[in-house]
Amino acid sequence: MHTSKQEPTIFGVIAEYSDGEAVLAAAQAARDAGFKKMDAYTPYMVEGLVDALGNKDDRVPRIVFICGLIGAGLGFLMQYWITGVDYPMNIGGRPNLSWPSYIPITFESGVLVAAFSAVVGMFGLNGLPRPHHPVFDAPGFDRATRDKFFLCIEAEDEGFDARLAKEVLLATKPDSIQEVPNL
Amino acid sequence: MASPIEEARVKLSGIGTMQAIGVVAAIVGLGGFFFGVSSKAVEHPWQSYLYGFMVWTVLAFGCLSISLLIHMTRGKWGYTFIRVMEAGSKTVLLMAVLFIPILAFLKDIYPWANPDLVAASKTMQHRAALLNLQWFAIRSAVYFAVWIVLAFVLSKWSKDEDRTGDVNYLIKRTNLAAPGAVLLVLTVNFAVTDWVMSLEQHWYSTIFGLIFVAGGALMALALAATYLGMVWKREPFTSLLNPKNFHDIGNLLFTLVVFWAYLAFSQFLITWSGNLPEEIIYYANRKEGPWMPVGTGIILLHFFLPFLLLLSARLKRTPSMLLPVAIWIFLIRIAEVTWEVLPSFHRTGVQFSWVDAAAVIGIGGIWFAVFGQILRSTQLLPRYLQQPSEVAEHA
Repeated sequence: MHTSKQEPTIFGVIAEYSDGEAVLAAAQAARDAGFKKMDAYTPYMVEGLVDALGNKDDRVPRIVFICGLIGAGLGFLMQYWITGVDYPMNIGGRPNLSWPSYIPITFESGVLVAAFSAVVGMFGLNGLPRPHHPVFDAPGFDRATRDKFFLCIEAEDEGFDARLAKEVLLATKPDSIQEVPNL
Repeated sequence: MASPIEEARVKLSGIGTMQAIGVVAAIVGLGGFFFGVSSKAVEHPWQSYLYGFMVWTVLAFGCLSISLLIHMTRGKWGYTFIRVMEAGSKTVLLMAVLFIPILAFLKDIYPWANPDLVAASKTMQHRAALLNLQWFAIRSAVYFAVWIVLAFVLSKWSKDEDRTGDVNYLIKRTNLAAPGAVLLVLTVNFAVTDWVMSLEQHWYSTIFGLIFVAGGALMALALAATYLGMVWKREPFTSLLNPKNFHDIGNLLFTLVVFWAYLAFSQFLITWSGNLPEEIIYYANRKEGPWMPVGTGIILLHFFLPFLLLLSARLKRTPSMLLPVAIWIFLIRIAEVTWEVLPSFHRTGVQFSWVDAAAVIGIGGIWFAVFGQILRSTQLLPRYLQQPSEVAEHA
């Protein structure tokens, strides 16, 4: 067991599979073995994989919700400022705060800001844009964008032990398995 | 040996309870209604009947719309409750029978059936070419004929496919459901124009029917979600349903809540912007008496509350949390139809009478008793649910 706070010498242990079901089963097995910090790399979305990885991160939905409310609020205030404060106009005797006519744009600005915050929030939380990642050094990893499925147990995990991680992953019958150097 | 799917036919003891409650509600409700008619508790008691009829007719054609949607898309998300929607859509035949008293008491219900009112209004005289007993009856018969044919033929093919295993029925179902959905939107649009909009002497709105299309689909899907929320703990439902199924249904509920709100608000915004006397009367009338707080409550509880709750993925994926939301949407739908229909009676005194409540409860009781009877004779899960094609991928 490492007790020092030094940077781990390896990034993690990566296993390669040929189909989505195998990587899904491997993620579940790794979770059952007590590993928490891991990630999967697949050419397309595998149903249930996010749950199997134990990902409970809901920061993006929260950001989107709050930004949506802010966008809607600002959109409403903008219209009130334009038609009610800066340049009030009498339109058919309606009050300056004619809220029904503000609703469509309030809704649109809420959706607009929420959508932008979803993209920006997702990029920011993922640490993107990022030119390099340690898993890129795993041999054959480029096939993650074509026909191979990868599961990487990361060394940052509190209970990480490379030997145990390899044992657990070997039991899931991967096509190959290797250590990822932390470069 | 019967597969678990086939056994799902008899195991739901809740159907009997639902029918028993339905029969009691029908007796109490209709008894109360006819007492109201004979004791002249309200000036026009058959208007109360029309109101009760509309609440459950909206649910009946709503079930048909969801059933058409599932047959059209062949989505597995709907196969676990398709039989419930088919049973619900078959109640259009019941509603056709229950429509007969409306024809019989037309004069009590509609201003256009009252010669004095027609004589006093030029608009009403122009409308008389369309709004008269013969034409009204013929059009209503056409609406019901379309709905009955769609509901019964689709249900029959769906069951024939089960019985024979012939996949040609799959193609036939889709080929009927797609034009059927177009027909349904058109017929509901005209039916609501005839049955509800014509309660107003001068008001009109071209989006009014669509509000009922969206509302009916929402109410029917809320019924389906309630059903799944109640049965999912039993086999074979437990192994057939996963959180993703509930997530899909929750998302569709969310979509329909927003779609309904979009249509209802569109009508309001255009009417409010125009502010023309013959149009604004609809909302001016609904600012009076109890209808202002009821309308405000519908905005908050029919839109904002379900909207905010259904944003949560966790809620949609947890059946025990989705169930109360579905029940709530079902109930608030009744309030919304109430708000659309009752103020158009232009009552002078009490706005919501116990006769109205009796009519809704009575007709609702009949509806649930018949709905339960149809469910009882139905295999609750189609066998094509287990066909490997399109099942896993397009869940």
